[in-house]
Amino acid sequence: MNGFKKDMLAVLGFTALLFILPGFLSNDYYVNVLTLSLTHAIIAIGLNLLMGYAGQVSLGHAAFYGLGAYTSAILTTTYAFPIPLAMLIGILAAGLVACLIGVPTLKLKGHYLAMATLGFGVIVYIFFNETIGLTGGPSGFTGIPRLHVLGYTFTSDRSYYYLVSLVLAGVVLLSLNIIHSRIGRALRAIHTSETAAQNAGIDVAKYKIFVFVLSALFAGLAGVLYAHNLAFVAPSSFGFNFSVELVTMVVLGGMANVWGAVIGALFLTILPEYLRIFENIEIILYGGILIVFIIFLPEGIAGGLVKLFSMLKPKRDDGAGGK
Amino acid sequence: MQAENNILHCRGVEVTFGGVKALNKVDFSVALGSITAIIGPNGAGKTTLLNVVSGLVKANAGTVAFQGLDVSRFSPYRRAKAGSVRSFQNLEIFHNMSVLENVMTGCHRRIRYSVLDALLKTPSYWRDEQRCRQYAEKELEFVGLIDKKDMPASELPFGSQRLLELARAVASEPQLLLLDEPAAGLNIRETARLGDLIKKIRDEKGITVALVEHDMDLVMRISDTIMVLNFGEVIAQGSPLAIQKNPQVIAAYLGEDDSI
Amino acid sequence: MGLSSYLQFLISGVTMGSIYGLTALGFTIIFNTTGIINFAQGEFVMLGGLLSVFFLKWFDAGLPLSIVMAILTTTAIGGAIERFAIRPVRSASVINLIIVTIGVSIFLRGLTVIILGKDTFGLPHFSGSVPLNLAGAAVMPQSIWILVITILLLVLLRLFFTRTIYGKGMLACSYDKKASYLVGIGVNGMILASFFISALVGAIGGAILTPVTMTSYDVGIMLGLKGFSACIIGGLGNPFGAAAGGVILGVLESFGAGFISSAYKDAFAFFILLILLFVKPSGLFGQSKIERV
Repeated sequence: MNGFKKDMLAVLGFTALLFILPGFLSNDYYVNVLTLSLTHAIIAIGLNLLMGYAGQVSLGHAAFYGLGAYTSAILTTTYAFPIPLAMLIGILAAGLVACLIGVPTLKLKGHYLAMATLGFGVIVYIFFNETIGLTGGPSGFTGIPRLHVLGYTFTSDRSYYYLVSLVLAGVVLLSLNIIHSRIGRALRAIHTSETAAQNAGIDVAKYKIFVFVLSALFAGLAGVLYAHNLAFVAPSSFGFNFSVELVTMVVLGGMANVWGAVIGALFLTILPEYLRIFENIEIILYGGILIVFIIFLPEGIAGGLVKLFSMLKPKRDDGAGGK
Repeated sequence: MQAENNILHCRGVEVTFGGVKALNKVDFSVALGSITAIIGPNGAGKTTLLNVVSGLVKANAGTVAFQGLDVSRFSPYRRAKAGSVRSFQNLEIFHNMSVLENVMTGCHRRIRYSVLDALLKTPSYWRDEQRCRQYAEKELEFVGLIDKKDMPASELPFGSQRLLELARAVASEPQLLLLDEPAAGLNIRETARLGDLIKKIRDEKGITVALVEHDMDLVMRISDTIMVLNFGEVIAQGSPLAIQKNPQVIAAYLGEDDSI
Repeated sequence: MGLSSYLQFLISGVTMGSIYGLTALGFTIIFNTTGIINFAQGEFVMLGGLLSVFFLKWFDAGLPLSIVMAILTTTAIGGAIERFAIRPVRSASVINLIIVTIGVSIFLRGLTVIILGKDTFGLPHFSGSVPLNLAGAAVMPQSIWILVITILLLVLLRLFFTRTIYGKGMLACSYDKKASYLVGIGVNGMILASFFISALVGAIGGAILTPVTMTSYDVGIMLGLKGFSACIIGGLGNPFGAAAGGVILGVLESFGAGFISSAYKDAFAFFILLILLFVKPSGLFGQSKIERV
């Protein structure tokens, strides 16, 4: 109906925008930066669903990104699996691990949950770093084949960009569809009051795990796209620092808004490219953003924009009583 | 009390909080199709009893049987699934949704399409969402909030939020509705409307109602049975008239001044 | 492996464990007064060490003075954090609180990078680095410093919380904030004090540890996480448990590294953390409920 049509139009418009963007970019390097930011956006959307809608914090999401990337990389390079199959397994691997640790972890609340996800993320990172025979250790894993499917190889950076754009558009649409459904209502209910949600007959535990696994699947999807684009993966991309970056993207963009996640990811991935001195102020900037946004704009950029638009809309007189 | 006529039966319920016995060997039943009130002075354990019945608190001893089924070990979710739904003293409406969406969330168990339907927006999804919306609108009409259906729930005045919570609870088509001080914070006019609404819930929807309440006018006016708690123990259970005349009840409320 | 090896592992375990315990104590003090887990606790430890280096090198202030100034500065930073980053959002949702303290932790780290860079620094040992011989095991004098200072701190804190009015007031806050407020205890002041004390304790830990392990801008992350693990081992909210948990964790880690693998040493703490969280979140001595916040 109306809501769905609006979503569809927004997604189509967004995709069209993404498709014409490379035309303005002189250098393939910038296209790559854009591709990376879109890849990050895929993870951010999943994390946004988890944090903003289900209200659960994850400080270890980089681990799922890495699990997807490494699984697909190792299967295709060391074991010569066909790429599409390896990618699928990579995505499912991330989901499976999420399922396994999600069940005990999501029984925890608040800070305990945050710490558990943190600990999990660190353990996975250490695993990537130490199992040198499998993963290549700290110096990384090379030689990952570029994606080729149905006879077509995505050799050019631009072709990969279009692929990731399409995948992102699909992820956005799926996420919007979930949010605008009884599942989305259940998630929002859980975020506000788990007690009341249970009372409405919502199986809170089941939904938390569902969102957690879904967000891990998205992260795994991003991971496999990343691995077959860059042709190289290293543990440093999948550590605590990146998990924090992801959380910052979600907070910056807006915690209960799919488009917010996209905004946050684009902003925080592209910005470093323009701040050459970023190297040194990067860390303090992330910290500052988190603090400032939570204190002054907890609904993020997207939420702020939404509030702005609703304030600018003329107030309809409600006759029957309004406020 | 015959077991078959009771939708709810608590037997020997005991709750201890760090040395304080909040409920002591409470035997309490709610007859099917009745409006039963739980009253008592402050600190008597009324809300604790409600929490035990709804599953938020696990009793240290005793059983809770709902529709003949032993639900003592059930989580609040399972009890809601079984048909026992409650309202909250401090209102737990979903303030990140509109009024209508709150009630549609209440319909969560009534309309159940799958994740796949939601993801792909199948015809099933459209049909069921429409039905869900219609059910929710009907419940909003029932409580008198239909004209505010698209308002953000947080912008409703307090009295209307109480009605919203009722609408949401009733939307899940429960067999038993547990109300925790539904009249708290309402003025006389709103309380009267509430009383009528509770009776309508029982009469028109066939939902049994049990309520914890302080407002004696409301309690006396609408209850079929009243149970009185004092210091965690049942001191009387009977019709409003009988309770009003019960010397122990009177003593409990007025205090034992002459025992000094 | 002879007795001396066991002893070696034990001593290094207790040494690190003391710092984990002090870090855990810092977590506990803030948690008890506010119900918040301060993710930046590890940064207090880092600052204690790194600022000592800073004052020593850049101000040429001599070791004892540098350490004192570092501790005082970190304590002040702890208070500033509470006042400017935590207090505005104290009534926010759990997830927002978590994010704020993470933000603070990152911010502090970032500030350190700008001022001091990413290098690793060391501090001179307090009384020389000639190891003593204890039944075949080599004991650094610094380890003894660490142990003695830690025990001293624990005793002083215990006296503070049980004998002084201020300390008792803070304990009251931890049991029931509203009641404390109603009887006239300035809750805001108590919370500020808890941040001061946690920062102080953390900074001391950092300063006395740096001669042994060196320090850099990112040591806070691991120390903080392990300190939190120690809290969970001992039961979140239990100060004695926090200290004991720290020592237990340090010893387990030391023996684990010695007997199983030193590469996975860091992972031990987290395995233990995860298993505890899943199986017995209330820890060995704990009484607080898991959903505390």
